[in-house]
Amino acid sequence: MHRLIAAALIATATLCAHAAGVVRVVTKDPSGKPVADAVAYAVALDGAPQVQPPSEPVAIVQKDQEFQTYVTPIVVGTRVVFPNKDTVQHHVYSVSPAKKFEIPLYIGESSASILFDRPGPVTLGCNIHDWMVAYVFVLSTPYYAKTGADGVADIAGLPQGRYRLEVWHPRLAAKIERELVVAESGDTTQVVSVTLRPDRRIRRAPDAGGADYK
Amino acid sequence: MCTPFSGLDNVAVGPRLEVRHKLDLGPFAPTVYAGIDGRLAGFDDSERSKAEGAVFAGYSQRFTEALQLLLEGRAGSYDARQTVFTGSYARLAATLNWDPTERWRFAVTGGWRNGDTVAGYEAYRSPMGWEPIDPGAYALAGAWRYVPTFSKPFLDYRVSAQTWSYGAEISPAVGRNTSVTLRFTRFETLGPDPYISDEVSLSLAHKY
Repeated sequence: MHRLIAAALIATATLCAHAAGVVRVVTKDPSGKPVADAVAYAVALDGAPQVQPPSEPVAIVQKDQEFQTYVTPIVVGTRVVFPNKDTVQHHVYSVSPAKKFEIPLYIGESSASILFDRPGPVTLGCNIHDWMVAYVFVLSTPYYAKTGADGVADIAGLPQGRYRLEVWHPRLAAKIERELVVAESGDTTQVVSVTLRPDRRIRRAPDAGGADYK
Repeated sequence: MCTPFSGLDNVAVGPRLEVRHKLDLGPFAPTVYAGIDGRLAGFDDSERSKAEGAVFAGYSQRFTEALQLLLEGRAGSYDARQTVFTGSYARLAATLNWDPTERWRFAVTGGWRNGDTVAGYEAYRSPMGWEPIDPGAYALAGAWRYVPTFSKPFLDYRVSAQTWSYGAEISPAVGRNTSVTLRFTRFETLGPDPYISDEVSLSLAHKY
Protein backbone atom coordinates (compact mmCIF):
# COMPACT_ATOMS: atom_id res chain seq x y z
CA MET A 1 0.00 0.00 0.00
CA HIS A 2 2.81 2.41 0.94
CA ARG A 3 4.60 1.59 -2.26
CA LEU A 4 1.45 2.36 -4.25
CA ILE A 5 1.03 5.75 -2.62
CA ALA A 6 4.68 6.53 -3.18
CA ALA A 7 4.41 5.61 -6.85
CA ALA A 8 1.34 7.81 -7.22
CA LEU A 9 3.12 10.75 -5.60
CA ILE A 10 6.13 10.34 -7.86
CA ALA A 11 3.89 10.14 -10.95
CA THR A 12 2.03 13.28 -9.90
CA ALA A 13 5.24 15.12 -9.26
CA THR A 14 6.61 14.13 -12.66
CA LEU A 15 3.44 15.30 -14.36
CA CYS A 16 3.52 18.66 -12.57
CA ALA A 17 7.10 19.22 -13.58
CA HIS A 18 6.34 18.95 -17.29
CA ALA A 19 2.67 19.72 -17.81
CA ALA A 20 1.69 23.33 -18.37
CA GLY A 21 -2.00 22.75 -18.40
CA VAL A 22 -4.85 22.14 -20.73
CA VAL A 23 -5.41 23.30 -24.27
CA ARG A 24 -9.14 23.63 -24.74
CA VAL A 25 -10.18 23.34 -28.38
CA VAL A 26 -13.62 24.73 -29.17
CA THR A 27 -14.91 23.69 -32.58
CA LYS A 28 -17.68 25.46 -34.44
CA ASP A 29 -19.08 25.03 -37.89
CA PRO A 30 -19.68 28.08 -40.11
CA SER A 31 -23.14 28.56 -38.56
CA GLY A 32 -21.65 28.55 -35.06
CA LYS A 33 -22.88 25.10 -34.03
CA PRO A 34 -20.50 22.79 -32.14
CA VAL A 35 -18.82 19.99 -34.08
CA ALA A 36 -18.84 16.62 -32.33
CA ASP A 37 -16.46 13.72 -33.01
CA ALA A 38 -13.56 15.90 -34.13
CA VAL A 39 -10.12 14.84 -32.98
CA ALA A 40 -7.93 17.71 -31.83
CA TYR A 41 -4.27 16.87 -31.37
CA ALA A 42 -0.99 18.62 -30.78
CA VAL A 43 2.23 17.56 -32.46
CA ALA A 44 5.34 18.65 -30.57
CA LEU A 45 7.68 20.68 -32.78
CA ASP A 46 10.62 20.51 -30.39
CA GLY A 47 11.14 16.78 -30.19
CA ALA A 48 8.38 14.24 -30.41
CA PRO A 49 7.57 12.36 -27.22
CA GLN A 50 7.09 8.62 -27.20
CA VAL A 51 3.55 7.36 -27.29
CA GLN A 52 2.58 4.65 -24.88
CA PRO A 53 -0.25 2.44 -26.15
CA PRO A 54 -2.61 1.09 -23.51
CA SER A 55 -1.95 -2.41 -22.27
CA GLU A 56 -5.58 -3.43 -22.78
CA PRO A 57 -7.24 -3.27 -26.20
CA VAL A 58 -9.74 -0.57 -26.99
CA ALA A 59 -13.25 -1.86 -27.79
CA ILE A 60 -15.43 -0.62 -30.63
CA VAL A 61 -18.84 -2.18 -30.04
CA GLN A 62 -21.41 -3.05 -32.69
CA LYS A 63 -25.02 -2.94 -31.56
CA ASP A 64 -28.31 -2.41 -33.38
CA GLN A 65 -26.34 -2.91 -36.59
CA GLU A 66 -24.29 0.22 -36.02
CA PHE A 67 -20.85 0.93 -34.63
CA GLN A 68 -21.52 2.47 -31.26
CA THR A 69 -18.57 4.85 -31.51
CA TYR A 70 -18.34 6.97 -34.63
CA VAL A 71 -14.76 8.19 -34.12
CA THR A 72 -12.15 6.50 -31.93
CA PRO A 73 -8.78 8.22 -31.54
CA ILE A 74 -5.92 5.94 -30.46
CA VAL A 75 -2.14 6.08 -30.44
CA VAL A 76 0.11 3.97 -32.65
CA GLY A 77 0.56 0.49 -31.24
CA THR A 78 -2.92 0.23 -29.77
CA ARG A 79 -4.90 -2.95 -30.22
CA VAL A 80 -8.62 -2.73 -30.94
CA VAL A 81 -11.31 -5.38 -30.52
CA PHE A 82 -14.76 -5.28 -32.10
CA PRO A 83 -17.36 -6.92 -29.82
CA ASN A 84 -20.53 -7.80 -31.70
CA LYS A 85 -23.52 -7.39 -29.39
CA ASP A 86 -26.03 -8.02 -32.14
CA THR A 87 -27.79 -11.29 -32.83
CA VAL A 88 -26.63 -11.17 -36.45
CA GLN A 89 -23.16 -11.64 -37.81
CA HIS A 90 -20.90 -8.77 -38.81
CA HIS A 91 -17.88 -8.64 -41.07
CA VAL A 92 -15.68 -5.75 -39.99
CA TYR A 93 -13.08 -4.55 -42.44
CA SER A 94 -10.89 -1.65 -43.50
CA VAL A 95 -9.21 -0.94 -46.80
CA SER A 96 -7.58 2.26 -45.56
CA PRO A 97 -3.83 2.68 -46.25
CA ALA A 98 -3.08 3.07 -42.53
CA LYS A 99 -4.58 -0.34 -41.76
CA LYS A 100 -6.03 -2.99 -44.01
CA PHE A 101 -7.76 -5.88 -42.28
CA GLU A 102 -10.91 -7.89 -42.14
CA ILE A 103 -12.59 -10.01 -39.51
CA PRO A 104 -14.87 -12.31 -41.49
CA LEU A 105 -18.37 -13.15 -40.38
CA TYR A 106 -18.52 -13.46 -36.63
CA ILE A 107 -20.87 -13.01 -33.75
CA GLY A 108 -20.28 -12.57 -30.03
CA GLU A 109 -18.34 -10.27 -27.83
CA SER A 110 -14.88 -11.69 -28.42
CA SER A 111 -13.25 -10.79 -31.68
CA ALA A 112 -9.74 -10.85 -33.00
CA SER A 113 -7.73 -7.89 -31.73
CA ILE A 114 -6.26 -5.74 -34.48
CA LEU A 115 -2.98 -3.88 -34.01
CA PHE A 116 -2.99 -0.37 -35.45
CA ASP A 117 0.69 0.23 -36.08
CA ARG A 118 0.68 3.16 -38.51
CA PRO A 119 -0.66 6.68 -38.01
CA GLY A 120 -3.57 7.95 -40.06
CA PRO A 121 -7.31 7.68 -40.49
CA VAL A 122 -8.86 4.23 -40.83
CA THR A 123 -12.37 3.80 -42.15
CA LEU A 124 -14.26 0.85 -40.71
CA GLY A 125 -17.18 -0.85 -42.39
CA CYS A 126 -19.26 -3.99 -42.21
CA ASN A 127 -19.30 -5.95 -45.43
CA ILE A 128 -22.81 -7.22 -44.69
CA HIS A 129 -24.42 -3.97 -43.58
CA ASP A 130 -23.10 -1.30 -45.91
CA TRP A 131 -24.58 1.57 -43.92
CA MET A 132 -22.35 0.79 -40.93
CA VAL A 133 -19.36 3.10 -40.84
CA ALA A 134 -16.94 4.28 -38.16
CA TYR A 135 -13.45 5.69 -37.98
CA VAL A 136 -10.28 5.03 -36.04
CA PHE A 137 -7.81 7.87 -36.05
CA VAL A 138 -4.33 6.60 -35.23
CA LEU A 139 -2.03 9.21 -33.71
CA SER A 140 1.70 9.37 -33.16
CA THR A 141 1.36 11.97 -30.44
CA PRO A 142 0.06 11.42 -26.92
CA TYR A 143 -1.63 14.83 -26.83
CA TYR A 144 -5.12 14.49 -28.20
CA ALA A 145 -8.80 14.62 -27.32
CA LYS A 146 -12.12 14.15 -29.08
CA THR A 147 -14.86 16.74 -29.08
CA GLY A 148 -18.11 15.90 -27.39
CA ALA A 149 -21.59 17.06 -28.33
CA ASP A 150 -20.61 20.51 -27.06
CA GLY A 151 -17.78 20.70 -29.61
CA VAL A 152 -15.14 20.98 -26.89
CA ALA A 153 -12.01 18.88 -26.53
CA ASP A 154 -9.53 19.32 -23.70
CA ILE A 155 -6.00 18.23 -24.51
CA ALA A 156 -4.37 17.72 -21.17
CA GLY A 157 -0.80 17.30 -20.07
CA LEU A 158 1.07 19.30 -22.69
CA PRO A 159 4.51 20.31 -21.49
CA GLN A 160 5.70 23.81 -22.21
CA GLY A 161 6.81 24.23 -25.82
CA ARG A 162 5.80 24.72 -29.42
CA TYR A 163 3.17 22.54 -31.09
CA ARG A 164 1.26 22.19 -34.29
CA LEU A 165 -2.39 21.97 -33.38
CA GLU A 166 -4.45 19.97 -35.88
CA VAL A 167 -8.08 19.01 -36.03
CA TRP A 168 -9.37 15.96 -37.91
CA HIS A 169 -12.90 14.86 -38.64
CA PRO A 170 -14.12 12.17 -41.09
CA ARG A 171 -15.97 14.80 -43.11
CA LEU A 172 -13.46 17.59 -42.84
CA ALA A 173 -13.63 19.80 -45.93
CA ALA A 174 -10.14 21.32 -45.59
CA LYS A 175 -7.11 20.59 -43.44
CA ILE A 176 -6.95 22.53 -40.17
CA GLU A 177 -3.66 23.25 -38.48
CA ARG A 178 -2.09 26.11 -36.60
CA GLU A 179 0.99 26.66 -34.52
CA LEU A 180 0.54 26.81 -30.80
CA VAL A 181 2.88 27.83 -28.00
CA VAL A 182 2.16 26.35 -24.62
CA ALA A 183 3.50 28.60 -21.94
CA GLU A 184 4.44 27.62 -18.45
CA SER A 185 1.64 29.69 -17.02
CA GLY A 186 -1.42 27.63 -17.77
CA ASP A 187 -4.42 26.82 -19.86
CA THR A 188 -5.32 28.19 -23.28
CA THR A 189 -8.43 28.08 -25.43
CA GLN A 190 -8.35 27.71 -29.19
CA VAL A 191 -11.49 28.36 -31.17
CA VAL A 192 -11.42 26.48 -34.45
CA SER A 193 -13.81 26.91 -37.36
CA VAL A 194 -14.56 23.51 -38.89
CA THR A 195 -16.29 23.09 -42.23
CA LEU A 196 -17.68 19.62 -42.85
CA ARG A 197 -18.75 17.91 -46.03
CA PRO A 198 -22.34 16.58 -46.02
CA ASP A 199 -22.90 13.40 -44.03
CA ARG A 200 -23.69 10.96 -46.81
CA ARG A 201 -24.30 7.37 -45.84
CA ILE A 202 -25.81 4.42 -47.59
CA ARG A 203 -29.52 4.05 -47.00
CA ARG A 204 -30.35 1.54 -44.31
CA ALA A 205 -34.11 1.18 -44.72
CA PRO A 206 -35.23 -1.99 -46.52
CA ASP A 207 -36.73 -2.09 -49.97
CA ALA A 208 -40.17 -3.51 -50.69
CA GLY A 209 -38.74 -5.41 -53.68
CA GLY A 210 -39.09 -5.14 -57.42
CA ALA A 211 -42.21 -5.06 -59.51
CA ASP A 212 -43.80 -8.40 -60.28
CA TYR A 213 -46.11 -9.38 -63.04
CA LYS A 214 -49.55 -10.69 -62.08
CA MET B 1 -63.65 6.23 -64.83
CA CYS B 2 -62.45 2.96 -63.40
CA THR B 3 -64.95 0.48 -62.07
CA PRO B 4 -63.81 -0.93 -58.75
CA PHE B 5 -63.55 -4.67 -58.32
CA SER B 6 -62.10 -6.92 -55.67
CA GLY B 7 -61.56 -10.23 -57.48
CA LEU B 8 -57.80 -9.70 -57.69
CA ASP B 9 -57.43 -8.88 -53.99
CA ASN B 10 -55.12 -11.50 -52.58
CA VAL B 11 -53.02 -12.51 -49.64
CA ALA B 12 -49.79 -14.40 -50.21
CA VAL B 13 -47.27 -16.04 -47.95
CA GLY B 14 -44.19 -18.07 -48.71
CA PRO B 15 -40.55 -18.86 -47.99
CA ARG B 16 -37.48 -17.54 -49.76
CA LEU B 17 -34.08 -19.18 -49.61
CA GLU B 18 -31.26 -17.06 -50.93
CA VAL B 19 -27.48 -17.27 -51.04
CA ARG B 20 -25.57 -14.01 -51.45
CA HIS B 21 -21.92 -13.48 -52.19
CA LYS B 22 -20.15 -10.17 -52.24
CA LEU B 23 -17.24 -10.22 -54.65
CA ASP B 24 -15.00 -7.83 -52.69
CA LEU B 25 -14.91 -5.64 -49.61
CA GLY B 26 -16.85 -2.43 -49.30
CA PRO B 27 -20.17 -0.95 -50.29
CA PHE B 28 -19.18 -0.62 -53.95
CA ALA B 29 -18.28 -4.27 -54.37
CA PRO B 30 -20.67 -6.15 -56.65
CA THR B 31 -22.92 -8.76 -55.12
CA VAL B 32 -24.33 -11.87 -56.76
CA TYR B 33 -27.13 -13.94 -55.36
CA ALA B 34 -29.28 -16.92 -56.22
CA GLY B 35 -32.11 -18.75 -54.61
CA ILE B 36 -35.53 -20.29 -54.71
CA ASP B 37 -38.81 -19.01 -53.42
CA GLY B 38 -42.39 -20.10 -53.29
CA ARG B 39 -45.69 -18.80 -52.08
CA LEU B 40 -49.31 -19.63 -51.65
CA ALA B 41 -51.65 -16.90 -52.83
CA GLY B 42 -55.31 -16.78 -51.97
CA PHE B 43 -57.44 -14.57 -54.23
CA ASP B 44 -60.87 -13.13 -53.62
CA ASP B 45 -61.71 -14.71 -56.96
CA SER B 46 -60.85 -18.17 -55.62
CA GLU B 47 -60.23 -19.74 -59.03
CA ARG B 48 -57.10 -17.63 -59.24
CA SER B 49 -55.68 -18.94 -55.97
CA LYS B 50 -52.39 -20.65 -56.66
CA ALA B 51 -49.11 -22.13 -55.50
CA GLU B 52 -46.00 -20.63 -57.05
CA GLY B 53 -42.36 -21.58 -57.17
CA ALA B 54 -39.36 -19.96 -58.83
CA VAL B 55 -35.59 -19.98 -59.10
CA PHE B 56 -33.80 -16.69 -59.41
CA ALA B 57 -30.35 -15.18 -59.70
CA GLY B 58 -29.30 -11.59 -59.51
CA TYR B 59 -26.51 -9.06 -59.49
CA SER B 60 -26.27 -5.73 -57.72
CA GLN B 61 -23.72 -2.99 -58.14
CA ARG B 62 -23.52 0.26 -56.23
CA PHE B 63 -21.76 3.03 -58.13
CA THR B 64 -21.95 5.72 -55.46
CA GLU B 65 -23.66 6.08 -52.08
CA ALA B 66 -26.68 7.28 -54.04
CA LEU B 67 -26.79 5.10 -57.15
CA GLN B 68 -27.33 1.35 -57.33
CA LEU B 69 -28.15 -1.04 -60.18
CA LEU B 70 -29.99 -4.32 -59.63
CA LEU B 71 -30.40 -7.03 -62.26
CA GLU B 72 -32.39 -10.20 -61.74
CA GLY B 73 -33.37 -13.22 -63.80
CA ARG B 74 -36.16 -15.50 -62.70
CA ALA B 75 -37.92 -18.61 -63.96
CA GLY B 76 -41.00 -19.98 -62.30
CA SER B 77 -44.28 -21.73 -62.57
CA TYR B 78 -47.59 -21.49 -60.80
CA ASP B 79 -50.44 -23.89 -60.37
CA ALA B 80 -53.84 -22.29 -59.88
CA ARG B 81 -57.17 -23.84 -59.00
CA GLN B 82 -58.31 -23.02 -62.53
CA THR B 83 -56.09 -24.13 -65.40
CA VAL B 84 -56.51 -20.79 -67.21
CA PHE B 85 -54.53 -19.17 -64.43
CA THR B 86 -51.81 -21.84 -64.39
CA GLY B 87 -48.55 -21.39 -66.26
CA SER B 88 -44.82 -20.77 -66.30
CA TYR B 89 -42.55 -17.91 -67.25
CA ALA B 90 -39.03 -16.51 -67.49
CA ARG B 91 -38.32 -12.93 -66.59
CA LEU B 92 -35.47 -10.40 -66.60
CA ALA B 93 -35.73 -7.24 -64.55
CA ALA B 94 -33.56 -4.21 -63.94
CA THR B 95 -33.89 -1.53 -61.26
CA LEU B 96 -31.89 1.65 -60.89
CA ASN B 97 -32.12 3.09 -57.39
CA TRP B 98 -31.28 6.68 -56.67
CA ASP B 99 -31.09 7.70 -53.00
CA PRO B 100 -30.51 11.46 -52.90
CA THR B 101 -30.66 11.25 -49.10
CA GLU B 102 -30.82 8.42 -46.59
CA ARG B 103 -34.57 8.97 -46.34
CA TRP B 104 -35.62 9.19 -49.96
CA ARG B 105 -35.32 6.61 -52.70
CA PHE B 106 -36.43 7.05 -56.28
CA ALA B 107 -36.18 4.20 -58.74
CA VAL B 108 -36.87 3.36 -62.32
CA THR B 109 -37.61 -0.20 -63.32
CA GLY B 110 -37.68 -2.16 -66.54
CA GLY B 111 -38.35 -5.76 -67.36
CA TRP B 112 -39.08 -8.41 -69.93
CA ARG B 113 -41.15 -11.50 -69.40
CA ASN B 114 -41.91 -14.44 -71.62
CA GLY B 115 -44.44 -17.07 -70.72
CA ASP B 116 -48.03 -17.74 -69.90
CA THR B 117 -50.35 -14.92 -69.08
CA VAL B 118 -54.04 -14.23 -69.11
CA ALA B 119 -55.84 -12.13 -71.71
CA GLY B 120 -59.35 -11.00 -70.90
CA TYR B 121 -62.08 -10.46 -73.50
CA GLU B 122 -65.46 -8.90 -72.92
CA ALA B 123 -68.18 -11.48 -73.38
CA TYR B 124 -71.88 -11.79 -74.02
CA ARG B 125 -74.30 -14.61 -73.36
CA SER B 126 -75.48 -16.35 -76.49
CA PRO B 127 -77.74 -19.38 -76.80
CA MET B 128 -74.49 -21.36 -76.94
CA GLY B 129 -73.23 -19.86 -73.67
CA TRP B 130 -70.64 -17.14 -73.03
CA GLU B 131 -68.89 -15.93 -76.17
CA PRO B 132 -66.25 -13.21 -76.75
CA ILE B 133 -67.41 -9.99 -78.38
CA ASP B 134 -64.08 -9.82 -80.24
CA PRO B 135 -64.08 -12.70 -82.72
CA GLY B 136 -60.27 -12.64 -82.69
CA ALA B 137 -60.45 -14.51 -79.42
CA TYR B 138 -61.63 -17.62 -81.25
CA ALA B 139 -58.12 -17.91 -82.70
CA LEU B 140 -56.60 -18.33 -79.25
CA ALA B 141 -55.56 -21.89 -78.59
CA GLY B 142 -55.18 -21.76 -74.82
CA ALA B 143 -57.66 -22.70 -72.15
CA TRP B 144 -60.41 -20.20 -71.45
CA ARG B 145 -63.06 -19.59 -68.89
CA TYR B 146 -65.82 -17.16 -68.02
CA VAL B 147 -64.74 -15.06 -65.05
CA PRO B 148 -66.92 -13.05 -62.70
CA THR B 149 -63.93 -11.05 -61.53
CA PHE B 150 -64.91 -7.73 -63.03
CA SER B 151 -68.05 -5.65 -63.27
CA LYS B 152 -68.62 -6.83 -66.85
CA PRO B 153 -68.70 -10.40 -68.11
CA PHE B 154 -65.29 -11.51 -69.30
CA LEU B 155 -63.72 -14.55 -70.83
CA ASP B 156 -60.12 -15.12 -69.73
CA TYR B 157 -57.78 -16.96 -72.07
CA ARG B 158 -54.42 -18.39 -71.21
CA VAL B 159 -51.98 -17.12 -73.82
CA SER B 160 -48.25 -17.30 -74.29
CA ALA B 161 -46.83 -13.84 -74.78
CA GLN B 162 -43.96 -11.52 -74.19
CA THR B 163 -44.45 -8.60 -71.86
CA TRP B 164 -42.29 -5.53 -71.54
CA SER B 165 -42.62 -3.49 -68.40
CA TYR B 166 -41.30 -0.20 -67.14
CA GLY B 167 -42.09 1.93 -64.18
CA ALA B 168 -41.04 4.23 -61.41
CA GLU B 169 -41.20 4.25 -57.66
CA ILE B 170 -40.76 6.55 -54.73
CA SER B 171 -39.83 5.11 -51.37
CA PRO B 172 -39.39 7.21 -48.24
CA ALA B 173 -37.75 5.56 -45.26
CA VAL B 174 -39.81 5.72 -42.10
CA GLY B 175 -37.16 5.25 -39.46
CA ARG B 176 -34.10 3.08 -39.87
CA ASN B 177 -35.82 -0.24 -40.52
CA THR B 178 -39.04 0.64 -42.32
CA SER B 179 -39.94 2.04 -45.70
CA VAL B 180 -43.05 2.73 -47.71
CA THR B 181 -42.94 2.28 -51.46
CA LEU B 182 -45.37 3.69 -54.00
CA ARG B 183 -44.79 2.09 -57.38
CA PHE B 184 -46.24 2.52 -60.82
CA THR B 185 -45.59 -0.09 -63.51
CA ARG B 186 -46.87 -0.27 -67.06
CA PHE B 187 -47.01 -3.69 -68.72
CA GLU B 188 -47.14 -3.92 -72.49
CA THR B 189 -48.05 -7.40 -73.58
CA LEU B 190 -47.35 -8.39 -77.17
CA GLY B 191 -49.14 -11.20 -78.93
CA PRO B 192 -52.26 -11.79 -80.98
CA ASP B 193 -54.04 -8.92 -79.24
CA PRO B 194 -51.49 -6.58 -77.68
CA TYR B 195 -52.69 -4.84 -74.57
CA ILE B 196 -51.43 -2.51 -71.89
CA SER B 197 -52.10 -2.77 -68.21
CA ASP B 198 -51.03 -0.39 -65.49
CA GLU B 199 -50.38 -1.32 -61.92
CA VAL B 200 -50.10 0.96 -58.92
CA SER B 201 -48.93 -0.59 -55.69
CA LEU B 202 -48.24 0.61 -52.19
CA SER B 203 -45.90 -1.54 -50.10
CA LEU B 204 -44.64 -1.46 -46.57
CA ALA B 205 -41.34 -3.12 -45.73
CA HIS B 206 -40.02 -3.60 -42.22
CA LYS B 207 -36.84 -5.37 -41.25
CA TYR B 208 -36.59 -6.95 -37.78
